[in-house]
This record gives sequence, C-alpha cells and structure tokens, in this order.
Amino acid sequence: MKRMRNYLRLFRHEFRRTISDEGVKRFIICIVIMQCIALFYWLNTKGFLYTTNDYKLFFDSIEKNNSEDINEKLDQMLTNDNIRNQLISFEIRKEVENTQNYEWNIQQKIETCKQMLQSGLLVDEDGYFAQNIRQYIRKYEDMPPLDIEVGPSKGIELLGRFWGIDISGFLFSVFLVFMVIVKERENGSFWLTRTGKLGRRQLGICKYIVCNILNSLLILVMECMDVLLLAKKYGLGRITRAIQSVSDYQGCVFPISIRSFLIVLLALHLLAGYIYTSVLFCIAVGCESLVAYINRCLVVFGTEMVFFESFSSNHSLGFLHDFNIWSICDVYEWIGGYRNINFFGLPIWYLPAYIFVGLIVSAFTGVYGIWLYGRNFSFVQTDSFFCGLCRLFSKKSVSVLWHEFYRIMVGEKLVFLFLFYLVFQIASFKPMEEGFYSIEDIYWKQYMIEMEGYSIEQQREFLAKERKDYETATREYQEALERSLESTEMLQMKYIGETGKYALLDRLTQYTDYLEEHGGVPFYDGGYRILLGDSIGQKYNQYIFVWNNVLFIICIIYLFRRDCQTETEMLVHTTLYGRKKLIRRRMLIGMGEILLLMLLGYTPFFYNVFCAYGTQGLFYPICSMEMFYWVPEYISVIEYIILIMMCRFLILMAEMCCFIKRL
Amino acid sequence: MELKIDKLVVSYGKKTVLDNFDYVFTPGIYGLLGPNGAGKTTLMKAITDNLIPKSGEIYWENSCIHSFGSEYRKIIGFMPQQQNIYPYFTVENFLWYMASLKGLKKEQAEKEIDKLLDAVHLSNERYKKMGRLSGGMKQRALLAQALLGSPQIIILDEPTVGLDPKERIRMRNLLSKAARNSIILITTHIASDVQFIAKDIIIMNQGKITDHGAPEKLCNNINGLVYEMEIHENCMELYSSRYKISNIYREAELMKIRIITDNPPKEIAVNAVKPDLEDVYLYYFG
Repeated sequence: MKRMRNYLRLFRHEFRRTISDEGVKRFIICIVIMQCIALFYWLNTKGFLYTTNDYKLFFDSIEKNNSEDINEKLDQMLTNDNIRNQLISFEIRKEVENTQNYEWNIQQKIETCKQMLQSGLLVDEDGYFAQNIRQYIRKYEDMPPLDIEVGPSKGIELLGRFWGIDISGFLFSVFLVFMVIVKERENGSFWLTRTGKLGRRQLGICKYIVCNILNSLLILVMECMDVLLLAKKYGLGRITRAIQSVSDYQGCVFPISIRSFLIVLLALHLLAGYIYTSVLFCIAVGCESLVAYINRCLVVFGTEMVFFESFSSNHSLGFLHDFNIWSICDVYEWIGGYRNINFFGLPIWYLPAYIFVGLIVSAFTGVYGIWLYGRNFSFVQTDSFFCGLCRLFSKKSVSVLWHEFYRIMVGEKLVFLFLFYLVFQIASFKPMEEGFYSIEDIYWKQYMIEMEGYSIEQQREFLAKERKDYETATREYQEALERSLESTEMLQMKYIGETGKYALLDRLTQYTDYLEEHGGVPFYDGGYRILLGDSIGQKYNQYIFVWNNVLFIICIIYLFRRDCQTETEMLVHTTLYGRKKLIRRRMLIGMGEILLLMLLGYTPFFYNVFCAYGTQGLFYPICSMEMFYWVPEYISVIEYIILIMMCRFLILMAEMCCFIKRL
Repeated sequence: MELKIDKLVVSYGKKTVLDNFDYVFTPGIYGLLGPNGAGKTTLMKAITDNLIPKSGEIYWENSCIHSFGSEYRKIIGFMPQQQNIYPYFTVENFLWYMASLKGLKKEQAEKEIDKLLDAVHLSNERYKKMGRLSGGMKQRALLAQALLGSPQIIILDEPTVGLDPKERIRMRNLLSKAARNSIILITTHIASDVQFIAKDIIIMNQGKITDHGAPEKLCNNINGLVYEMEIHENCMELYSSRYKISNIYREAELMKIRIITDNPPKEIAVNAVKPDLEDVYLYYFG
C-alpha cells in the first residue's frame, strides 16, 4: 500500500512537471493548430462536386425516408434545371446505391471467391491461397444480419482515412520522450534524480506511464476534435446503424454500429500510440543528447520505413511490411476490410495478429526501456570502430570549413542521415509509367508530337489540312451509312478511330490562338506538367518538400544547436574566426546540405518523369504551356524548372536563416 | 601591455551587474574572488567582447577594444567552466579545431599543439574522445586550447575544478610561466589556488570592487582579527551566532574553532593566528 502511494506521488510530480513545461505546452498547441489546418485542407481539396453543406443538407432532407423515397428525390434532383443539384444527385446516387446494394455486393464477392475455387486455377488446393479464399467466404457468410441504412458517410470515410492523428501523435511522442528522458540527461539532472530512493526503476516506470498517458490524451483530444468537426461538416446520420452502411467499410467483418466503430477506431489509434511511444522510450533511455536521440530514431524508424516501402504483403518477407511500425498509418486497412497474411502457408487474420505483435513489442520495449533506465544504460561505448574511422578521416588542417564539415558529418554523424535518405530513395524507387486519363489525351499527345516546333503559319496550315481530312472522313462515314454495307456499330467502330482525333481540332485551334497571343511553340508537355506541380505532380512535390524539410530541420539542429546547448558559444565567440566567418562557413555547409537533400529527393522524381514522358521541348518557351501564360516568352522550360528549384532552395535557405537566431 | 577597464557599467534590465568598474591589468596573474552574482562572469564576458556594456570602455594598449575589430580576439584565450564541449572530437581534433578558429598557421598550430599536449600531460590521450576523458583531463584539454596561439590575455573560469593536487600544482606552475608575457585572469572559489601565484586579488561584490591588492596585503589588512580557540561542543551554538567561523575541527568533545572578529571573547583563551585568503573572503562575505 505504501509502495503504491509512493508510486502515485512520484507519478503525480512527474506528470505535473512534464505538463507544466513551456515546450510541451507550446508543442501541444502547435500540434492541435496543425491538425485543424490539415483537416481544413483535407476537407476542402478533395475535389468533390458539391460543398459539405450541400451534402449535409441533402441527407438532412432524406432523414427517415425509405429507399424508394430517396431514389425518387435523387431522380427529381437529376431532372432539376440546377446543374449543381444534378451534380450532387449524380455523386450521391453512387454512394446511396452502394449502401442499398450491400447484400448484393457481398454476395457478389462470395460468388467470385467460389468461382475462383471451382475454376481449378489454384495449383495447391490446400495451399495458402485456397485456404485464404475459404476463410474469406466463411467470414462473410457467417456475418449476422446488419442494420444497413442510407445516411451521410463521407465524414466517417474521411475520419478512417485521415492519418493526421497518427502522424501528430507520433511527432508529439518523439518530442515528449525527448523532454522527459533525453533533456534530463542533457542538463545533468538525470544524475541528481538517480541518487533519490525512488529515482531509478520506479521513476522510469512513472516516466513511461506519463509519456503514454499524455500521448493518449492528445490522441483522444484530436480524435474528438475530428469527430466533432466532421459531424458538423458532413453529419454522421443515425450512429446506431451498422458501419457497413458506409461505402468504404462494406468489407468490414465486425457487426458493429458506427458508434462502436468510433470507439474501435480510437482504441486502434491509442494502440498505435502505445506502440511507438514504447519504442521511442526504449531508444531514448540510452541517449545522452538530442543529436544521439535523433540519430537512433532515424536508424530505427528509417529501417522500418525502408522495409515498409520495399516489401509488399505478398512478398516472402512480407511480415517486414505487415508487422511494421509504419503500418500504424494504415489504421483504415485494419478494419476497412478483411485481410489475411501468409504465415508460413497459414492464413492469419491481420488485425488480431498485428494487435498481438504490437502489444508484445510495446510491452517488451517498455519493460526493457524501464530496466535500462534503472541501470543507467548509455549507448556511448568505449573507442569503437567508428572512432577509428573518425581518426582515418580527420586531418591536421587549420581550415575552419574543413573542421566544421568534419564536425557535422563525422562528429555529429550527419553522414548517416544522408545515407539513410539515399537507401530510402533507392528502396522506395518505383518506375513511373506515362498515364492518360482519356483517349483524347493520347490523340493530343500525337498532335503535339506532330506539331512540335511549328510556327503559327505552319500550325494554321496543319490545322487546315487536318480539318480537310476530317471532313473527308466524315463524308465517307455518312456515305457508308447511307449505303448500309455494314452494321451501324461496325461503322462506328471503324470510323471512330479515324474521326476521334478530329474532335480535338477546336481545342487545337484555341491553343494556336493562345500561342499567337502569348508566344511559344507547341510541344508535348505531359512530363513538365507533373514536374511543375499539376495533379499527380503536386502530390509528389509535396511529398518531397515535406521530406526535405524534415531532414533539413534535423540538419540545422546538428549544424547550430551544439553551441547553444553548452557554453561552447562563448568559447567559440572568443576566437578570431568564431563569429562571422564561422557562421558563413556553417551557412556554406548548410547550402551544401540543401543541395544534397534536393539532389537525393528530386533526382528519382525527375529521372522517372523524363524516362516516362521524354525531354522534348525542354528549351521551348514555358509560356507555350497554357498554365504558364503569365511567364515571359524568353524563359524556357528548363530555365523555369531551374528557377523553381532555386526558389525551393531559397525557401530552405530562408528557413536556415530563421533557425540560426532561434537556435 | 595594458588592459584598462574604465567605468564599466553593465545592466540586465533594471539590475546593474557591473557598477562603474575601474581597473588596470598589466602582465601577471589576477585572481577574481566574490560570491555568486558578484559580476565575475559578466566582467569576463565584457573583456572577451561577448557583451556590450551600457557605458564605459575597455582599452587595450590605450585603444578601445572595439577599434581592433576581430583582431582583438586574436590576443584572447578563454577557458570555460563547462566541460561538455564537443564530446565526439578527439583531444587532438579539438585542439586543431580551436587552432583553425583562432586563425593559426598550420606549422605554428602543429608545433604548439604538440608542446601544449606535453605541457598538460595529455600526449598519451590525444586520440581519446573528449567525451570519454575524466573531468580533470577535460579541464587540462580546455586549458591547452586557451593557451593555444600564445594569447596575451588569458581568462580562466574555475580552472582547477576536478584536478588532483599534483595536476593543480602543475597547472599553477604552467600559468606562472605564461604570466611573464600575458595577463591572466582567474575566477575561482578556491582561494588557495590563487593565493600563491596571483599578483593581485580582486574581491568583488554586487558589481563593484570591494578590495584588491597582493594576497599578502589583503591578509595583512585583517591581521589581528583571526583567532583560534578550543570550546566545548555545547557552546558551539552560542559562538556560531556571535562570530564568523572559518573552520571547525573536532577533538572528542572539544571543538577547535577559527573565528574572524575584532572583538575576541574574553572568557576563554584565544590564540591570534596569521590570516589566509579564505579568512579575507570570509571577512568580507561571511
């Protein structure tokens, strides 16, 4: 009893100490604001044809209606003159039909599986695939009757797929563990607490619990915030209806209501939080400084990321992908459908397997971390292999640049960060294929290749010739129709290829007019659109930008933090070159780091795009692309790309300049 | 060679940390004594040009230090108190790094690094990482970097912390040698460290000089005020409340105490003894 009281008292102090830290408070506020911004962005850039308000109003209006009434209302909207109503009706009809046809959809799935079993395509009838399919059929056949009802489902779909909670929780955990464990070591209070009666294992337990509780609280707050926001924006409908009423969750094998689903989702987020906090705790207890902590985190989570990206579930090493810490980003996958993993030929249900492995790993890392904390474990070893390497690369020089470079790359081991990025890029490299949204895009490409580099006169001539050809083809088609030598379908098929591309003539004429007005020459720009941030490109660019930013912030910490952490600043400032020259050299190294990060980040992207789409028209004016009508004619595509890259470079440089003062 | 501090005033907000500080340093060793918050570190920061004073100036060879620009820092060697500096550098790397920051030529750096490593007894540890050195070794490595480039002004913050008596004596001797051509300013709480080597001791309190002079002079100032006597342990509380006690030594139930007072007790036999620097410190701040 007394022991329990001691633990509680210790826990209370530790909790109060952590929560009253200014850094922790600011981080929580920052994370909550970021979460709101991310959610706002997510809600407003999904490209729906309707606003969230339209969506909510529609479902409010059909509340308690039966299927026939709903369909009738949708039909009315479709025939309505208001184009917006038509679009809403068209989009929502798909969602409503999906819900209404739940039974049929599941039956279809079961039938397909049965056909696969009977087709004899499976070589081994008792093998993993056959067993997997049988289990799949059994799972869906055993489903009890469900309370399926049409209702607003977009909000719930978004909630399941929104990964902001896990990412925010993870970042908070990284920060929290640093504040609770590593910072204490950095400022020396670790040795003080260790001398107390309860300052070892007992304190370790309290710290571990504090980290987990605070992280869980943050996840809880964020989840509640998301649910409230989405419920307000889209509405949740009757929350006692089955989760299978939501299109995205028709594959879910749990006979649960939406209300229970929200609880399960929260539990899974909390579990994910528990797993990564435990792993982080275990890493942190042996780290003497922030830099060491970041290094170890990079090694552990970077390796996991490489495994996650390199192997698919079907791979023989698929468990490295499935039982991976980054799988926490797939919380939707856990409950959205039914998935088995191949465990030495046995199909094992992924969700319970992951929960089991996750609990084991987090319990092990948690207990091991506490044990290490109690024993004052430190990763710092006696002179090691790496120390030998350091000596090999060190040289007797009086160059400030060399010493700074050596200090950061070898001393602070930043070289590993770049190696990690390189390995990650290699592991996650997937060749890109040229994509077309429609047949028109293919014809457009053909035209652009044909017309490449044409002057306005040549374009007009070419268009006139095409129009003439088009008229000939149309006339032939009409004559053939009149002669009725072949069936109409055959004729359509025959002439559609001939006439299809002529449908673009108007667009081409408009484009020629555009070129006449703004300058430039025609060329195929599919690749450049991606490179410069159109649709798919935007996703790639954002992804690379986020990665580069995160890694660069780590670089800046390595570059500038050491001096602020200790009294080194005064020592260095008292030397001849310890002020302006040193800062200039550090900025030079920072520039080198930015270049290296950009090289590692963008090279695979550029290589992929150029391989898939080619490099034609690289030296033509960028204003030839309609989206860049505002750019002067004398700037070519390559110059514009260089300009954009320079802007990205300058953004990171500006970031560095801001950080120098802050750090 | 002269470093003159002229009516220096430094404030942090409303608090004045250095108040019209005046002093002229010439080659030799100076000890800076004073309680916490006396302004010792602020003075060091001002001399090393790490702080802009509110008013007053510091002159080097009769020219304001700011007129030298960065060249002024060429003549300064500084040893910080903090030991956790570049733990991943080897001792040799660390000295080369500091040599590069001090703008030394390669040949000069090579010669001096070897010489200083020998002088501070770290030749055998030159390939050891700084983070793996003992406290005393780190202290010696930091002293070596402060002496690198033969600076004319050397500022040492608690240089003897963590050193064993042998190394402490070695350090004192090394500093005495260097003091021939340099101004060495040592801040310390251990009065005995500077008592035998300092040319002048500056006693500071609340940003002002309380007293200064050669150690012997300071000790002579309180001659006849330091006494030793034996009392019973029961009387200890009474004497503690009446006098500044600089030392207590227990012999069974008897306590041998050393007090500083101008009004020694009449009821008991007392011996007047020769004061030392600790007594001086206690006289001012006890």
